Amino acid sequence: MRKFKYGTLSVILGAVVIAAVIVVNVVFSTLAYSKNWYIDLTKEKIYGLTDAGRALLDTIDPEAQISVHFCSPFDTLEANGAQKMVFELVKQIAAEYDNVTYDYLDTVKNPSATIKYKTSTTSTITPDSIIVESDSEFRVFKLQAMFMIDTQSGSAWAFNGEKKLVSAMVACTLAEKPIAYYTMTHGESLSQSMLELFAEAGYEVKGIDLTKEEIAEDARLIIVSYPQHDFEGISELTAGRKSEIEKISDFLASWGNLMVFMAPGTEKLPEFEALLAEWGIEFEDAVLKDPSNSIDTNNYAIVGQYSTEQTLGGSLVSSIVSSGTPPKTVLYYTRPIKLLYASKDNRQASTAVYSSKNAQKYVDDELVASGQYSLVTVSREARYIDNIQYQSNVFAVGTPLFAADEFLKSTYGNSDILYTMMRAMGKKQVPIDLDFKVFEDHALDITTKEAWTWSGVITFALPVIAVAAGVVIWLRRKHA
Amino acid sequence: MLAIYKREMQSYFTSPVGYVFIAVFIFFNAGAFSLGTLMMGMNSNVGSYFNYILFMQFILIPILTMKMFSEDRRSRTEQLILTSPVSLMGMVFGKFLAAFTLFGGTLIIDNLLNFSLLYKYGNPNTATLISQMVGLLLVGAAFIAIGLFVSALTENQIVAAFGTVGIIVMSLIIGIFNSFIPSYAVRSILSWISVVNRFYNFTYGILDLASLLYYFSICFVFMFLTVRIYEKRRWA
Repeated sequence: MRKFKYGTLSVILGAVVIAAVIVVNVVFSTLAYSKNWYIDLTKEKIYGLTDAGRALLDTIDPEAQISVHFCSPFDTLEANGAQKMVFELVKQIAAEYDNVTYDYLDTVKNPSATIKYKTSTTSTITPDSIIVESDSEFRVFKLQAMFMIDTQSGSAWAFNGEKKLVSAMVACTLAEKPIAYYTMTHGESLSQSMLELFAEAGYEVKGIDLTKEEIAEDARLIIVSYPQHDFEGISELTAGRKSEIEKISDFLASWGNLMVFMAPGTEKLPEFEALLAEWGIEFEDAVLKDPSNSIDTNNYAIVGQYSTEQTLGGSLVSSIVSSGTPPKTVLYYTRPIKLLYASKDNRQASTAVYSSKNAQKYVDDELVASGQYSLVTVSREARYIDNIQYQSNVFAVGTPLFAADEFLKSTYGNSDILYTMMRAMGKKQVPIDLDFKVFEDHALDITTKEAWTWSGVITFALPVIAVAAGVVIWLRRKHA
Repeated sequence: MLAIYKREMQSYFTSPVGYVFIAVFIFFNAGAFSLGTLMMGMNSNVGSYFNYILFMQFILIPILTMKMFSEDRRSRTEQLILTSPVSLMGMVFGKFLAAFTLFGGTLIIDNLLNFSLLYKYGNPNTATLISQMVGLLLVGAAFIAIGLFVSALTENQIVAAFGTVGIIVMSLIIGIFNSFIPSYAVRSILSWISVVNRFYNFTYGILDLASLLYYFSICFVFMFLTVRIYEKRRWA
């Protein structure tokens, strides 16, 4: 018995007990980590999945596999308060839904792991990126997107992660691919490379005869590439059915998107051009050359200059601009685009790619002007409905050769711009009725005088009282 | 055990130790609270107050624990304890409980006043206040157990105090250098050990059951080791 108290066996017993405690802790921690054994005392259940979130996730096909990829190691996520919120939520979702998994993509050791999630060759997946993927659909979020940010102070005031993640999971698991329709019957043509790019962007591409067919509800994008004849307009008699322009207009009003490639020398298309004018776009009847900034001897192959403005057009090319060596975007035999307005009602129009300031405008082979012209533009109408932004985009390029095989299949930036636009237009907005979770409001409505007064009381008065009581009792005991 | 507990509590309040501890504790506690909340007004952040207190424990706890066993050894009253019919576990637990009562009681009572000011002038989240208080009490209990153990090792109170400070500081800062460590396995181990990392969930209103077990385990291990030390002395 004494050996157990102080001998060698005592030491062994002590070591065994400590080892047992460590093992119990490790096992329990592992189980608690995977099963989310914690008690959320908050009303907002900031870390937790709400019943409303569960109801939405229950609508997803249980066979659909959803993966959430984090680009930071799990312990790094745990150590960062903001990332931890997102991580804990994903863990809880994964614990409750067998078809949801999460993992860590090491972008340093395995950079190729994130290539497929980049929307352009120059966009980057950063350590705070969160990727929700299901089959071929994916959504990439930056950490900041998971929070409601005060635009003035820049600080987060609510957590919006549940809404973002659930919405992404629902959207990614929708059975159908986004559909892009290209118009026919007006002499249009599309390059094979462009069709392949659409497929790569996750689209299903179909032709449509708007004189006979309606635009399906699941259409996301209409492509009008090199039309040589005008569309049926509102002014035309169309035997009781909607005209082509009316259909396109209604499609855009229902948050559809339009891509337009027009060539120099095309005859006037009054109905179609009137539609584009509503979106602030006018294709000028001219062709551009740029002797100082072209890659061919005829000066028609203009190297575009990316917009660096804080506009929609600028944001379209921002990831290309921010790379160390941005690829060239080439527009061959292009007509200039004139923006009729920058902002009107809820619509904004801006330029993504300009010519240089030395571009020359030719009309009927005569030089009429020189200067800087818009070559690629994007117009957008956006509206917030129930805290979700709906948008309709019109993307315009002054030449159909922007999407020619030789420009899309090479290292030019043409494919990056198109791919970025396709991905942005292809995302279906899934209205999710989930509230964001407001953080606690720490603010105190206290005057400086009150703060000083109370600080004095609690910091000095109480300790003095405690010390005084101690002195009194000590003196009484001493003289007792 | 109850007799030991009563004796210890009495000794705290019949000598300057208890009052000095209470005064110093309230001073630091209230100072941190004022700096983190009252003085910040609209930018008040009660989380920073709890962080201050968490780190201030390396000063406060050693004051409380340095004399727990050291004094008995120095004054040679240790033999009375060793030969008494009280179980060693009962003795250790009684001392631990007395120290924890003083620490916890002071923390709770002082914060009742502090938090009443938060409710008077603001709209705090009760859940996070409760969870962080629970976290602080657990951390305090763990550090008291560590202090108890160190105090049992030496008869010099100063050595006991500094030894406790050293261990507490190590446990507080162990996770801070994680961002500089490339190995995921090493980072995980350090995070698992880190007292501060374990405290994080409490700041969000979460009672993490694994962390609860962790803190209770620290208390158990160090009290167990304290008992082993006295077992050895009793039977050697």
